[in-house]
Amino acid sequence: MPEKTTTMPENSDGLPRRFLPGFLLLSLERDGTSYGYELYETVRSLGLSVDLAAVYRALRTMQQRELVTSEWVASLAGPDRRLYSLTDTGRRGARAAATELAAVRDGLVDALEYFRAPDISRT
Amino acid sequence: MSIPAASPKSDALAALYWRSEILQVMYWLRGEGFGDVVDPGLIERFLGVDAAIGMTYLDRLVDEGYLVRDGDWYALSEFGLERGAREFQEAFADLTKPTHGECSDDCWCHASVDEAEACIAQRLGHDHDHA
Repeated sequence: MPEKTTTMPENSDGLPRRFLPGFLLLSLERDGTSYGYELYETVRSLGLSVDLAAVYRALRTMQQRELVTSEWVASLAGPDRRLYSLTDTGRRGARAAATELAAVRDGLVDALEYFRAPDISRT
Repeated sequence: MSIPAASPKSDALAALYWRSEILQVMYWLRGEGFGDVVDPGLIERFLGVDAAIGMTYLDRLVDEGYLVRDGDWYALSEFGLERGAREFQEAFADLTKPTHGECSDDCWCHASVDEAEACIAQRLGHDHDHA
């Protein structure tokens, strides 16, 4: 009887969701202003597997923490839309997020190099 | 999933809080092109409030004329639309924004005497999460 193969759990979620606030801040820093669904599409395109509700909740929390501000923008073609932009605190948050992401990247690069390198002590 | 810790505990403020939160979600979704119809499950996903509790507030908004109910679905009424998101946001900005308190930035304990009393009562009766 063949032995069962232990498989690692599939991770189809892409990048960790904890990156969502940082991605939102950096998206707003890059684009200046964005609507909610635009931000959702941006973070999805960058590999975050989050739903629209998560983006809404993150934006609400970030607004309560005064990282982002928003205004309702009237549209002749359709309903008003909420337009988001960074506050000064949010801009500092975006810089902090960029630093954190760079640290994560460097840590992952170091880890991959470690795993790829042969362990000469065992040879 | 239950009532988020940041939500007010007294009935009067809770009703205003959830009216604001629900209508803001509905205006937001509508603005993003998703229509103006929600169900309790969607409210749970977007606001983190238990669907059963969310439904009581949805029904309350129906009673107040902001929403109309069609089976499990709730839509903005003409009255709800007329109020407009901006006007609503301005009118309730002070009520929906937590003030300084010794618990946390999100706690409503110091928003009003009613809130303080409700919070104390809740803390005496339950573990209170001052997230």
